[in-house]
Amino acid sequence: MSGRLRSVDEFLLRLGLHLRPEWLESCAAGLPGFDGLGRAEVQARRCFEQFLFADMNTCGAGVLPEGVGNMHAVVLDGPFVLQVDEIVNISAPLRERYHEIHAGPKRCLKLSMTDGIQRIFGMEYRPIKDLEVLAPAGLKVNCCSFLIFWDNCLTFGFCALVLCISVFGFYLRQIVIRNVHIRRGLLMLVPEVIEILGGVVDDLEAARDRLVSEVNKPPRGKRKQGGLPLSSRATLAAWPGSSNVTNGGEGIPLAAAVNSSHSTGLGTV
Amino acid sequence: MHRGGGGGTIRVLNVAEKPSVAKSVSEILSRRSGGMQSRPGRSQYNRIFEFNYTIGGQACHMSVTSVTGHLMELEFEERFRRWHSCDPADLFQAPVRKFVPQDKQAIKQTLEEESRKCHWLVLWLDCDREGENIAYEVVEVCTGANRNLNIFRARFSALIDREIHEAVQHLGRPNKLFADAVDARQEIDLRIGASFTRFQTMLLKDAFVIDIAADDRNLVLSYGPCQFPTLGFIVERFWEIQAHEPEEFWTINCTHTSDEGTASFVWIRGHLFDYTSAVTTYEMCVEEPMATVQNVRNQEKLKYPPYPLSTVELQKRASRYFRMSSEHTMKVAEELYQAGFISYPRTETDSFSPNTDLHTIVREQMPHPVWGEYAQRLLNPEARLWRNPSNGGHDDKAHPPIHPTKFSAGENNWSQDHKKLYELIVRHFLACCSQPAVGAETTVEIDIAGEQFNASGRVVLALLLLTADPNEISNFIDAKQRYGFSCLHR
Repeated sequence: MSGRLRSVDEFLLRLGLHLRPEWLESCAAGLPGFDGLGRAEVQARRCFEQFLFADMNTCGAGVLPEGVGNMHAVVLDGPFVLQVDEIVNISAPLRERYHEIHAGPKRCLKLSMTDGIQRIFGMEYRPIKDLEVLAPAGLKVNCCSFLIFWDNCLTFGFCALVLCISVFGFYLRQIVIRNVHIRRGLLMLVPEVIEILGGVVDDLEAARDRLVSEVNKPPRGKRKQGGLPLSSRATLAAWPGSSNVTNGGEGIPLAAAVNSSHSTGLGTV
Repeated sequence: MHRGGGGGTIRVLNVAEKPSVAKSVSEILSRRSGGMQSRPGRSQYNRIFEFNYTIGGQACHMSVTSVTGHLMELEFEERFRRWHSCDPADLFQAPVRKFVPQDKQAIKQTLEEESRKCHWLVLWLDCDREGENIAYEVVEVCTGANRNLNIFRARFSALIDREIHEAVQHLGRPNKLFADAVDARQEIDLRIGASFTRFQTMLLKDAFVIDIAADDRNLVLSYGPCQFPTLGFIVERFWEIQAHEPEEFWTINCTHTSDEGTASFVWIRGHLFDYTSAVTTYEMCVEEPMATVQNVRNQEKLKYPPYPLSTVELQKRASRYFRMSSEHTMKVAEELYQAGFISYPRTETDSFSPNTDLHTIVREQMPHPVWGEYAQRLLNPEARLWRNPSNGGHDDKAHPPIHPTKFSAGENNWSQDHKKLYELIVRHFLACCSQPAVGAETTVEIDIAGEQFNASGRVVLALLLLTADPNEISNFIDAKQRYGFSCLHR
């Protein structure tokens, strides 16, 4: 990676985001006046804004510890910036799974997340008000941070350069204190450990819309069903032309894995 | 009441909606004046009853006959009857007319003959809009034969002495607006039904293979503005049921056993459709199985008396308790009404008018071996059981809520269904005049490893109205017992 980007990369790493060098290069090249921005954190912010709308399955370089899917009863150090590929409400049967519902005892969301290299699932262990059933597909979240991500940085950054880094470093330590529990490879999510960063991935969003409209269609007789169960029909609607309509985890192309294994919310880890 | 003609007896033609009503009305009115005679009319089923009576001091000779429902039908003019005679859309403008069909010609003849002999016409059709519409059909036929008839309307809700005498002593005039409303409804149904039936039959005739032995040319896909949407609801529901795919789900059961019994706690999440999440949560509970009581609540629960009985409520309850179809319920109710045991069973009214004599109706039920005792207690001011019925908010201004009008311990010609329905109506009436039943509900919330579970139980403190309506008891009491929680830690 070129020198100018190394400091941007380090800055983002400290915030829990690890991006592939080639993506960072092309992102910087694509932003007019990038070099003239000056400080690393300003450049990092511009790249981050682009990242929110990119697909982490292709641009993420992995930030979760290796073998995270097999960890049990440990506490993970954060922060981790992850992309939420799909959200399902596992308190509801399939036909109601994609109905919007407020956070509460009658809702339990399961999230399918990726850091670009590994897939990990999370369960809404305590109601998380900021999460919606139909939140944008490809949403970015930050695990283990409970402070506002960027605004503190900027507020202090314009005051004094030196103060910014040390103050922000101070906040980083506080962030690390609150960590996320993982049991049987499932992240137990509570409002204190997750922060919504925003963003969307257009392809995933379009596929999710196709899936939801197929699931929410009122039933119209056996002929229209074509002999397939609803979960398969929904997956086919999301990814037309995909032949991988099974319940599986690893080994299936990521795009299909997102929906085929989890459109019923029964992902195995 | 004017005297028709000069002095002397007035001849009155009375027309009821069906032969049984004609007979009941005649029996009631002729009882005091020495009975009635009957002779056949032109129609086999509609006899004519004759007797003497006095209306408002005026001596009358009464002839009572009946029709059998509608006397006339609405149809398009002849040239539009054949299917290919016009574009179905033209049927919205095509002229229509009412006429007496072949099978009602005999009744028409009877009415014409009797009208020529009479001065007054009194209409005893049922007191609803359809009845008013039939009344005008009768008026049309009768005035066709005798232009000078003085036309009156008798209005009553129950075939009992008091009401019938009241009705005939306070005759009114028929209401054209109600009749016109029914005419409008009939015309709309005819135009929409005929045009769409023709249209969709011709359109879809060759679109489906239908296994019916009938001749293809006679296959009709009929359309009715009420029936078709109803069919739509049924088909939609069928598709929903057919499309249902079972899914596995998991829940956590939690019970606590003590000397006093076992309590089952319900997981606040209900159930989860994801095995991994369910198992993970379950493991956490098993690792820390100590339950902490978060809250114990004790609440008084009241079961309020029902609103006075309307038709829809009667059908719902008969279906729920006795598995009687709505159609059968109404048939039995009609029979009870015509024999004078209950008030008119087709009503939307669910509140009693303030001057209804409720106490008398209750008193009439006191001799009953089963519920007589309850009726007595209701009337006993010291029992403090009485409560004026509440107001359901509906009043069709034609009839009171359905209530018993005559005591019966069971008639010989009653089937099981008659007995059950009569009992239902009496019990419902007694219940709606009663105080609410009182129960106590205890709810307990516990927390195990961060997961919440609830249990609740009810005990009945004051049965009261539930003794009047035993069908509702099982809805009110839970199988679970109420019990103490001193053994669990805080």
